Amino acid sequence: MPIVFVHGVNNRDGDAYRENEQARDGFLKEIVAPALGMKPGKLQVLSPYWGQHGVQFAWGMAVLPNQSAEFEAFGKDAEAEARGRVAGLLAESHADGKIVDMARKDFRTAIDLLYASAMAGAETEEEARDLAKSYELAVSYAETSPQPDWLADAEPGNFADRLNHAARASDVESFGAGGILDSLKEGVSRLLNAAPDATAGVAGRLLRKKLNATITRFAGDAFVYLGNRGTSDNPGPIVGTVLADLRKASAISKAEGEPLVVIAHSFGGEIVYDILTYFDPGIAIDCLITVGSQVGLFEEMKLYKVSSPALPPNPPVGRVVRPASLKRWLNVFDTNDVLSYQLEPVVEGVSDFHYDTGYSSFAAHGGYFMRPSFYKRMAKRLAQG
Amino acid sequence: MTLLLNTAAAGQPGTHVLAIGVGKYPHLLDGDKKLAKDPIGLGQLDSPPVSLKAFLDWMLAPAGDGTGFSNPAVPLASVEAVCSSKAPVTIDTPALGQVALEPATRDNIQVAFEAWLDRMKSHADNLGVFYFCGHGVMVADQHLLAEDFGRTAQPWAHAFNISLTIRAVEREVSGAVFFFIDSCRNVPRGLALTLGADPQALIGADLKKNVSCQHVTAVYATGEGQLAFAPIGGHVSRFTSALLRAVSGYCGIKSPGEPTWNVDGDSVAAAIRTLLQYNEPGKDRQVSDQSIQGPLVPLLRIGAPPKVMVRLDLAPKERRSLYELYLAKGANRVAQTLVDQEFKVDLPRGVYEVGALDPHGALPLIRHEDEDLVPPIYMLTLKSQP
Amino acid sequence: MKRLHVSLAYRTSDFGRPNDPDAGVTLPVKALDADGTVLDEGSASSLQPANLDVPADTGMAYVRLTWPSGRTETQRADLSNTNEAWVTFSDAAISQNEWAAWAVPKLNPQTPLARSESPADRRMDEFNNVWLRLWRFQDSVWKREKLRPIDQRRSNVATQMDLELGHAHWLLQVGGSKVTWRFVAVPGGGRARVLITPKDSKDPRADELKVVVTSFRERAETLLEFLSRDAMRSVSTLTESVSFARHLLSEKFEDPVAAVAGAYYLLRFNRWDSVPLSWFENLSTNFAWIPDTAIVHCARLLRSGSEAHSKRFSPEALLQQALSRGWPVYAEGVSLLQEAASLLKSNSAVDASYIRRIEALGSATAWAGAATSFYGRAPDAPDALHWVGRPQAPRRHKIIRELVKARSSGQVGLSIAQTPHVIRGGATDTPAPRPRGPLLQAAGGRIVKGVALGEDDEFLIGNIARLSSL
Repeated sequence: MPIVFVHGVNNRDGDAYRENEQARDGFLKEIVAPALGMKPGKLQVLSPYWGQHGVQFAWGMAVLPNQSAEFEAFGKDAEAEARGRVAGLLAESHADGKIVDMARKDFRTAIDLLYASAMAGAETEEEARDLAKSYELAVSYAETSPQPDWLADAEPGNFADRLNHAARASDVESFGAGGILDSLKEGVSRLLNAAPDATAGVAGRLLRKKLNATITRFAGDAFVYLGNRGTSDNPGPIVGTVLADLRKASAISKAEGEPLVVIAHSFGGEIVYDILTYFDPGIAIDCLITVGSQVGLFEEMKLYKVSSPALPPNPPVGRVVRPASLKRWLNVFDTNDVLSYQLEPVVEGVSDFHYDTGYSSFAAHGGYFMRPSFYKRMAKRLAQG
Repeated sequence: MTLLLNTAAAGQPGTHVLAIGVGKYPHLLDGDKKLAKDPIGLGQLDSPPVSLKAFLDWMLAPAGDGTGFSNPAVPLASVEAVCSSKAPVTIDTPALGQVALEPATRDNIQVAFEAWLDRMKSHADNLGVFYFCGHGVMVADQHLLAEDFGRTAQPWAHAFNISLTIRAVEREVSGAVFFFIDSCRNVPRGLALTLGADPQALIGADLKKNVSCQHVTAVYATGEGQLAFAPIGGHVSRFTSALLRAVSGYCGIKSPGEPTWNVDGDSVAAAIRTLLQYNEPGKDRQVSDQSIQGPLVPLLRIGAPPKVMVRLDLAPKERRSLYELYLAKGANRVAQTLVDQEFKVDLPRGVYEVGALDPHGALPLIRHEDEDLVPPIYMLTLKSQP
Repeated sequence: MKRLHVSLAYRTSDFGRPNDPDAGVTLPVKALDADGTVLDEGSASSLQPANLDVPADTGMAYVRLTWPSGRTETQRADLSNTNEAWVTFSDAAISQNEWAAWAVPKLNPQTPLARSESPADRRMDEFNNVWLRLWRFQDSVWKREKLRPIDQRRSNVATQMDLELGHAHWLLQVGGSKVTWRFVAVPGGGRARVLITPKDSKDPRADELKVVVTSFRERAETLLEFLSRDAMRSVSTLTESVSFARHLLSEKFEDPVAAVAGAYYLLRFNRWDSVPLSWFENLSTNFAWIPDTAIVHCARLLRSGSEAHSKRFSPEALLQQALSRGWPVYAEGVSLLQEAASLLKSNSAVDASYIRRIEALGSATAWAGAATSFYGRAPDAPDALHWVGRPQAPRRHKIIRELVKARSSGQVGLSIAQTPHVIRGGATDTPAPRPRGPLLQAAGGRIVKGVALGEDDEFLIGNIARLSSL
């Protein structure tokens, strides 16, 4: 069962909070796939990387107003990246790292933050999937016990232990603790360690720089894409890369008789739409989920190959029809994300899903896939049909 | 410490048992006292008291068909046990009636161990058996947790290093010792960092002394870095079930010149490993581990041949109910006729003819001569073709 | 008394040690009656049958042969009307390929190598991207050596190569996009043969590829294979023969590697004082190119209490000496190192870094039967973390979290390649995903933290010539 993930602007070197792709894939498989009728173990995530054909900055974005070496302050290895992510998470959710205090005020949000922090450091997909399973257990537990007694005297050192212990649903007794607790305790420790960075404004400056860099790169990618898009006989490099994996996934889906799902983030959505309407309308997709995307915007600007100036005949009435090869289309946007847009006003036969994180607008554009709650909400929305 | 049996005869070799079960940990998750600063994810356990009781009941039963400690050359001489559980555990003893076990605090364990060690030293040919069931963790060496783990700011003052204890015992006694350790061997990461002082062994290894112990077998419930399991709800653990099954007549070798079927470290470890493999229910695999040092010494000497759990099946499954599955040795023959299920039966160890025949004579006969049924389990799927 | 002659019609390799009087394959055999009682046991070799004596009233007897893997073969011998019978076990049907038959007894009974039909799903083809590297320990540094097989074989289910190795400590490294990086010790001082075959089970935790090693020291290796599986009975049977003691424990050390096997046997069976202490001393002094010699000497001293320790030889010094000579060739040495580390940990004469290295080795141990094997990225750094991928681009495959010490931003891993974090592309293993740190340079001879980097070519398993008809 294939899922194709088409990335947006965030997956490049030098980007402050490059997503943890292992964690993303793990959570997609474990939480989102079942809502689409797919079995986690049978899922295959294909991630065509078109970033090398995107915009290149000759001076490395030297023209950005806010230059600083803050990211380097976190260090250079995997754990440093995880710390960086968590610092961003804290800054954008206006939280400090005091997980126990937060849990006493809002247990559910504290759980989300804890698992996001653990997820930030997941190194393998297996680990991420185990985290996802554990997360679902923890969320169910929080729903039945929004204010458990043990919170009153919990400490950071045993918070994860107690949560994991209370929430777990095991059909065997084990004479020792299992592996996921280690990931959770790391999550707690990252929150505690990242807090000074978050509150001292390091993360804030980083976020601002990140927003600038994101928007800059986004514009650059759009220009490069439009300039080198190519034709259906001769597709450009970006289209070619994504098209190859879409075709591969389509073949797998046909061979297995399983649905094909595409998740596109940010500019990835525009690429997929161009492919579905012009470059290869023959690829049948069961479900397209665009996240923080600008597909509707580009249609308003008539920038697609098939964009017709004749639509709308009576502005603002009249809409583009959803591509025939696409059975279902969910568009997720966050009002705090300056780069995400609605779709329903422009395309008919689609559903907009307004995901209000309440996060700082500096970071919302990249944060979707770092939050376990996002996957859960997406799954719930998909299950609703 | 609680003495359940003490029939040691001066000048005679005897088997001395020390058994520890810890299920109640007041300072760990869901405990009834103050929670330890870092409980390393550990909570209360239902299985150890039940497992310990099963072990002790087996040990103290009169040596008979499958139960009781049977070793006429080195008979059971003493049994000592401590146990921590929610409800107190009482053991029925032959000599002292009903005895309630004292809790397995670090201090009680130390006192019981030293008494056991003293008894072990009383004769050069004594046998020792050490059994532990409860929480365990591993950092290079294996550590076992007593009831009061987490009571003080020095949690490791209430645990002990069993790996080093075994090495120390090797230099203290001269007989043979068998260790059965039913606990996990994983390493919680936080532990590796906070382990300042190493937990002490129950006795330090005296490097000035020779290794004098004739033989040591240590069987661990699981491999390094892995977990050990029990069914939920207060049942005997997987490892202890396998151990008790093995020693209840499903293990043993009769060597040339020996009058009895003997269970030694090699055979009991192999039997436990096989039984655990067979009983594994899917995801949480548990593979036992062992360490055997020194020439083999019998732990048990049994008069009757060991039994083998036979699981005879036929493929394809559609044909199962068309066949009679049988095993035959000499005049003895057991069979299951025209039934659509696996043939399960216990047979004495030996060399059998195993096969399947069609009572109506239509399907081809399947026959395996000279199948060596080795305890504890014999499994075969006969193939009917075409 | 009736007598059973049990012989082993097993192919003997042409490469046995010249001074090994028992160059044939030797395996333990038992005679049983119908109830499974053992009547007699002994060892049968391809050069010398076992003569088992059974009671005079024995009718039907059963002779059982045991392989190191635990698999047995049983044949009947009817002594009802006679006083003597002959039983032969043959290796003709062991494996599809004659050249691979030697490895089958050391592998799990379900190994594809032993099955007569070609397995549909497990083929060596899928291991075309698996690479091999050879390392040699010299002057306290691990140096890459070019892999130059003097003979090669390949089939659907196995790949085999023979190497001529000098008197040094050698490690073979195997890795691939789906194969965890692993090191396996190969005994030096002559010809060695390595066979690689896919795993025999669907267990995701098992190593993708099994590696079996021989240096044509039949008796010593069979003994160690049984010892590594704690099959004490089988070891006892093999060592009962006089010729065993004569060869493995000889004073002349004609074959020091075999002597090491003998030492391991003595230590495991608490018979370490049946040879003079000087035997151990001579072994460790004269054969420093084998790390195990110092290990067995150290263990010997620890066993007998401090009266035996002299100024010249102390366990602390020997432990450090052993580690400075490389890793033990045989897995038994790893256990002894762990025992020594545990006992000497609190002893201030031992540098804590040695203890840590032993603990790292212990937590990274992999299974290769009698041979030492461990996971890791570099030969001097066993690592409980699992790595996969091309040599220039390792990525973490699976973490045994339970065994890993905490990472922190301050701790940098090896100074060799940093972790390239993001995997591009679909399921294929595309090279060079932009690591952030210093890259592994291919320049010749530069030494990075105890590892000398040689030429950067690897031996791809896929490049071994395939035999045309099998």
